[in-house]
Amino acid sequence: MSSLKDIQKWVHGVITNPNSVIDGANSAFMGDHKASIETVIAPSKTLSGEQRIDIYRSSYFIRLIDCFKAEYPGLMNAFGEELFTHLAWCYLQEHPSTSYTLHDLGKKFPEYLATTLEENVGDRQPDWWQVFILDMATYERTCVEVYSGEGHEYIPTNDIFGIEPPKVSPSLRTLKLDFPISECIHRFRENEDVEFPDPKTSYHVITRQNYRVKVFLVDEEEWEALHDWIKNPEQECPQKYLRSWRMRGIVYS
Amino acid sequence: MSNFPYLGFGLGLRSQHFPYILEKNPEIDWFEIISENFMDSKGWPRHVINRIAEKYPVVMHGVSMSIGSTDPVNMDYLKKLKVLSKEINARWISDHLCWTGVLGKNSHDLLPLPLTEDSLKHVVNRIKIVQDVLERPLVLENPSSYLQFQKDSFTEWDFIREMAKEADCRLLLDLNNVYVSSFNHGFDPLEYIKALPLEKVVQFHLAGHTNKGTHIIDTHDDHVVQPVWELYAETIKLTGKVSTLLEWDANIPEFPELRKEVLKAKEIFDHGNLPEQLAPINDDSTVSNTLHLTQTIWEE
Repeated sequence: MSSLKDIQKWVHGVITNPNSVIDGANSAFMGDHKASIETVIAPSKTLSGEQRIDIYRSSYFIRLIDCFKAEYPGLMNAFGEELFTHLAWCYLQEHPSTSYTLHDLGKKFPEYLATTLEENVGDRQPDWWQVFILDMATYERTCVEVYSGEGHEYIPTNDIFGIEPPKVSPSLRTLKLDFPISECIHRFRENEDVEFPDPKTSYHVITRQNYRVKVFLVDEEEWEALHDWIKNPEQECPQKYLRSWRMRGIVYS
Repeated sequence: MSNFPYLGFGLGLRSQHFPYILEKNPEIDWFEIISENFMDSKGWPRHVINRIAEKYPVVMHGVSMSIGSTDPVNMDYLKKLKVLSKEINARWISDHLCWTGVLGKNSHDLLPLPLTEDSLKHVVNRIKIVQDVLERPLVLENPSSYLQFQKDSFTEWDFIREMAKEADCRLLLDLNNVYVSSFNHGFDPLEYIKALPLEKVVQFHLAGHTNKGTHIIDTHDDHVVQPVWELYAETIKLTGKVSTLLEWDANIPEFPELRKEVLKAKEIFDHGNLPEQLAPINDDSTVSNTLHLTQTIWEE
């Protein structure tokens, strides 16, 4: 007699199988044995048990890949929808969701793409377009995290312009990338003129003001100054940048 | 039933409509939120729901409680749910009679349970745990489903009746789901409804679906179909007034059109007038229970 847990493990195995529900039933266990679909799922007047459970299997991949498309719209257009869908499909098999929230689903996607690339190129240098793809994945995920994460909107207004020493905004993220992604991301998201730009070391500062994600490109000197100060926040904030950092929501005081 | 006030005719809150609602304060009785789209947010969605909750009654509707799963109850999830419910003064908290995953993996789908004695005991036990943690009765929705198990020993309506009695939970009666499942499994939807403990029903859901000929998929991407309006008209004769909510999750129209759709229910309730039959907008959808991330606002 199969337990509820056995049935759930079997159903989950069948509906998440990348190939078909038949393959799923051939590889899933019902307790200590294999079970055919027709012994578990009842047919309806119009559909076999196999057709009925396949509704869940096809929805599983479409639904979750749609989430990737929503989270990585620029990346999808950089890859092209077909290749992007294939990679998301492969990722789902290695990293099925283990969270109640869909916000965590694509968290490791940039890392997954980097590992896949590393495995494919071996000892040779990756092509520039491949580096661009990784930069874009990292950029889009970072923006999503800044959007959902802590910001300094909740800090009482009186404190923002107070006389306390400036503090780093909890929303702040910095990305040193090989491409100026922020300059071309809109075109990729809108799928317009998706020529890959020339590589250029780019220092992105990502923050949030009034709940909106903001991205700034800074030069190397400002980047170094910001990082030095983040590492040593007890030191005085560099006066040269304080005003612009405050205006940009990088710091508050 | 004083803990479950009658709220009138409401809409599922979707992020596309945030700016409209904040700017226009449209006339609508109440909103229902997808709990998971707000409970972890520390940004715009959380800010918006707090502002909306200052002006409208809000109900929380979840998709990830996985009340039927054999995995341990996720206490971290429940704690976050409780925090948000207090923050926005949620009138009640609902989820689905389903399971979403097992062995720590989440399919993010509302999967049907085998309707057996084992499942009933399991679900009743978990509802009691959840109600203890949340310190309020849980409201559970009848799911739409596309399969049945060979070992089912209950009808869905008998299962739900026993569950509601033993766990003393409340019910969210999704009339579209009843219709979808009645088509897919071949039962009489009104027989299903009449067999439920209707005094436990605190909310109705209405939504559109996609008829594939051999089966119906619960896509929430279209107008409510005529047979579901008829089912609603018959059901309110049995229940009297029950808080009623329209869900629309894909091909989402502008807010005024959504409002117009839910007011069709009010017209039926107040005057008994059924709406005109509409041709379906979309018949190629294949994904049930579309799940949406809240939209990110970019300003690079």
